[in-house]
Amino acid sequence: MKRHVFTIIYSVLLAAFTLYIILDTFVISRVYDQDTTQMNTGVFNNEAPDTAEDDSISEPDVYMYEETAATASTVVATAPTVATTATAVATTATADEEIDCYSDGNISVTIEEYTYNDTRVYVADVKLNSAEYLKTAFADDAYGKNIKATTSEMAENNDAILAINGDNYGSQESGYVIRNGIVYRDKAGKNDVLCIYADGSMEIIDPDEISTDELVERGVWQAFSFGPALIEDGSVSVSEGDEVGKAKASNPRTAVGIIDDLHYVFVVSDGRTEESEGLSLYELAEFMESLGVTTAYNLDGGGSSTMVFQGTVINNPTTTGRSVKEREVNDIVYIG
Amino acid sequence: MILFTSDKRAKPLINSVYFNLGFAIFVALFGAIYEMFSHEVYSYYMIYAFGIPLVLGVLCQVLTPVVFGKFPGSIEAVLWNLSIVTFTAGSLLKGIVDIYGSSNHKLIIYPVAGCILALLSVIVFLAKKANSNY
Repeated sequence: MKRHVFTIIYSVLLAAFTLYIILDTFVISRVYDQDTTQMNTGVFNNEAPDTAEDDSISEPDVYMYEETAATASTVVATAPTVATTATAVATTATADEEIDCYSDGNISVTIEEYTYNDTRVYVADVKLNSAEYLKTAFADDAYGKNIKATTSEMAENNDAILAINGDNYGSQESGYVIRNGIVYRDKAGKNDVLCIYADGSMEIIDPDEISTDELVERGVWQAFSFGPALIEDGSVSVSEGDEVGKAKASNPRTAVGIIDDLHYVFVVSDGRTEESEGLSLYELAEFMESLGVTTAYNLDGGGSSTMVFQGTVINNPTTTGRSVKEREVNDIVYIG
Repeated sequence: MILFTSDKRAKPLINSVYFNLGFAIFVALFGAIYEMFSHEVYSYYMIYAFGIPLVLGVLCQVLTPVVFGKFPGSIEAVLWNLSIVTFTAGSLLKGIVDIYGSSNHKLIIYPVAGCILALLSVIVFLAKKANSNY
């Protein structure tokens, strides 16, 4: 009898603990930083980190581009324009269609749709006058665990011209998180880290070799911990069998890459549907290489993959493949 | 197994082996169904979780009387089985968390608790064996 009592009590405790772990991992919200709207624009002047609140970026500190005079924010064209009808091939990606574009004196964005390996791929070609326009935001403007909102909600709240889902930092307990020049998590994770510097350059770093403080001193404006790196030094850095993150097959994907100084591409692919199969990491890397990307990094994918341009969801986000619905995520990368 | 069935002392062991065989089948089915709907995002912790009851619960327990010349009693069998359930639950949960792309450091509790229970089971078994030798 005593044995049965012990077994029952232990089983109940085990079940209760398991339920707690599930809730703790997926449901229970914890806020570690209430206000994440501040930005450390000191990195644009090679200054030491300044965590003082600075909600506004009144005058962009232009780093590399010369054409800084114009500041008008005019939407040049919003109507869909058919550009070409060629389908992408293995080596050179050619856009099926230019969906939309935006341009002002500091920001230029062109959205194009490609068909690549039976997959719809949406590419935002972004040219900036300063990396200061490449920003990030957290759901509910709070840093923490299980704090979520859809990409489009966060885009709207931050007046984003273009937004994609970020690295979903909150699902991990480690991995550098530097956003808008401020360090939120300094615990190194297992994954490579993508650093975007104040001068607009991108670099993939090993978090075991450098601390977050050193990164900010070097002028890191944004750092993401998801990965893997897709392209380094102009070459694909993942192999066909090297599927990091346990996602071994075709799926919706989100990635960011750099072509030239302050010239970026944000890439989101649909997947898990008959219309769009999805890409493996290797296929995604090959596609981005064909765009001329020199450094590219994989962000959170699957049902999280979403691209929003001027308030409209451009792709078809889906978790199950049966219905199109945005999944709530922890953070976004946006232009604005 | 057939040789054991005539010995009353083998009853806890036989019950335990059948329990673990059923548990291993359940876990294998659970893992297969879960992987089927996880869009080919996989976790070894999920795929191979059934191996825990199969190896520790069936193989080890069947070999125990062969190796030690003594059947485990009901107390040590219960402790051993609870450790197997704990290890397996931890493995499945780690698989779920992995497939979601998340992490939780509290998962370490499962292998720790499983090891403590398994150790207690071994201590009880060896203590009983030592006593029976005198």
